[in-house]
Amino acid sequence: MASRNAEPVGEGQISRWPLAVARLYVGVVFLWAGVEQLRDGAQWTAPGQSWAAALHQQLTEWAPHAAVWYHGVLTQLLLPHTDVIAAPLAWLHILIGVALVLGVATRLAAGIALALLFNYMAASGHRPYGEWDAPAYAALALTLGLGAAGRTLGADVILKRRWPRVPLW
Amino acid sequence: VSVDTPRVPTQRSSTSNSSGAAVIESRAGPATLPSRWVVVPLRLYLSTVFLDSLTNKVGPGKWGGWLDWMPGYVADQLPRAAALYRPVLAAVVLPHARVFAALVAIGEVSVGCALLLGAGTRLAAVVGMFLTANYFLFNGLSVIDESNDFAIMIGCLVVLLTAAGRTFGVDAVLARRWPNCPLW
Repeated sequence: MASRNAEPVGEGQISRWPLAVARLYVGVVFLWAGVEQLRDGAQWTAPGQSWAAALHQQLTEWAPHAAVWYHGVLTQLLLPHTDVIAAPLAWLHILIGVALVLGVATRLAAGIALALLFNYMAASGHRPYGEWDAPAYAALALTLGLGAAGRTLGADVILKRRWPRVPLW
Repeated sequence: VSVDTPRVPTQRSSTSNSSGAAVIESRAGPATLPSRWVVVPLRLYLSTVFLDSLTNKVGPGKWGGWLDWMPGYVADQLPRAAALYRPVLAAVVLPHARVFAALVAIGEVSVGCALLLGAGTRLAAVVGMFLTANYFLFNGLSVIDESNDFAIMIGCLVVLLTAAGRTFGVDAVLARRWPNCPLW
């Protein structure tokens, strides 16, 4: 890994280690979010409220503002089943977080994170740019995916050597 | 001899190919590293953050309102700011709040435009990080809170370290003219 980092950066290329820093940060954020959701943490829930109830409340508040094309998904698919999706959603955050922290299948993890964040933006009716946390993390996730950020300080170095053609790392 | 003869050109050709590839690699860099264009979407996104935050500051009738509103907001927010940042707010920012309000707006428009155009991107990223670090401390948040402040700082750091303006940006021209200047 050290020798890879020491490779000369050509014109029009970038060193991958700044992306590794961003990958670790986004990974920790997702991991922390998932763990807090599972333990009904104060960041996501009101006192005495479960994560599933908090998710239902959040989606209900978002529903009037949801993107037109997403409104049906939100009201007919997600809202009636928040108690079913709440725990898997938290675990998905944890899996994304672990994958990004370890740099395992980073492109896949970044792609799933991006899809998840676009769901949040569509559900809340927020623009995919400007201030708010979801677009910020989406922009970072896109960069991590495009730059294959797990190939420095991550397990993707090994995966890439073993299966060089697989686009997931 | 008849067996060796055809081998000679093959070996020469192989040697020639190897050295040729080495020359190409030293110019273009190793194929394992990503191209700079992968950080361009991040740079453009960050420009929208800074330009978007101007919507309540710049415009007909908004400038005066912003200068009047900020001192009160800083005073209200003071107890919630990070402990180490409170003395700075109380001693430096609050007594000159209107000046700082103007500086914030000028900083945001400068950083937003520079990131959008990719002109002086590294300088813009440093200023952007400084502005966002101040917001972060002002809001008294943790690094993994639901705010985007720390994410914006990380984004600016990536843009800074990768010189993201040198692809699809004015910095490509600036870097060619002044290659040793660290601002782009």
